[in-house]
Amino acid sequence: MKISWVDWNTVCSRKEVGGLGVRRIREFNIALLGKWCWRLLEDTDSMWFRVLSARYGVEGGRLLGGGREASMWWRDIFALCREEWFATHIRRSVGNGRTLDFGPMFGVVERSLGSGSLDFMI
Amino acid sequence: MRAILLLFEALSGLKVNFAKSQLVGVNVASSWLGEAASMLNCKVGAIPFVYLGMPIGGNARRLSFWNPLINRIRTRLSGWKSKHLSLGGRLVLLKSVLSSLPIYALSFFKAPSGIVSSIESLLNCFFFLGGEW
Repeated sequence: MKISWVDWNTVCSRKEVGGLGVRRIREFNIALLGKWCWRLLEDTDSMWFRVLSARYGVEGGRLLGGGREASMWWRDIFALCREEWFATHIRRSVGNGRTLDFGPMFGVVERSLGSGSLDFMI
Repeated sequence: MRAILLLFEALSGLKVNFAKSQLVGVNVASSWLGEAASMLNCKVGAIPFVYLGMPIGGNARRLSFWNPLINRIRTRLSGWKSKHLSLGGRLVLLKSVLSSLPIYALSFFKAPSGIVSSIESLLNCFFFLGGEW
C-alpha cells in the first residue's frame, strides 16, 4: 500500500485540526519540566525545595540560580523557570482570591494557573 | 554504616542485597572506599551511575547522556515486525509505547535539540516506513 507522507508537524497536531495527536517531544519536555518550576514555587515544604534552597539560597520566596557554580541540571531548570511563558501564566492571589480578611494579619498566599493558559500537547 | 543498614532492615522488614549494591563516594579517598566496600560485601560504584532507570551525575547537555534512551527506543523498534502492522496499528504503538518511553527522563532533564530531533526522526521512520532507515 502506498501511503502519502505528511509533515511531522501535522502528525503532532490535535485531531480536531486534522492531526493525529502524537506528542511533540520538545513541548512535552518543557511541559514536564515546567512542573518543576511550579512545584518549587508552590510546595516549599518539599524535600526538593529544602535541598535546593540549602544549596543555592532563597530570595523573596524564590530559589536563586547559583550562577556558574550551579549544576547543569539546576541551570537548565532555573533558566526555564525564568522564561517569559512561565512568568506570564502564573498569578499570585491573596486569601481565597476574592475576599481578603485583614483580621488576622496572615493571608495564605497561593499561586494558581490561569485557566487554559498552557496550550501544550500533554 | 553497616549498623545503620541493619537497623533499617530491622525497622522496615526490608532486606538490603549487598551483592547488588554499590558504594559511591563523593570526595572520599578510593582506598577507604574499597575497604568499606569489601567490608560491606558490595561493589564500588562510580559517577555517573543508573538509579531507578535514570542516569545520576551525568551531564544532560552531552549527547552521549541520552544514548541509553535512544537505544531503548531502537531495541523496542527492532523487536516489532513493523512492516506487517497497519498504519493505524503503528499509530497506536507510537502514541502508547514509543512516546511514553522517554517521559521519565524528560520529566527530569532538558533534552538538547539534537536529541529531540533524533527521537522524532526514529518515531517518524517507524510510523511512515515501518522501520529504521
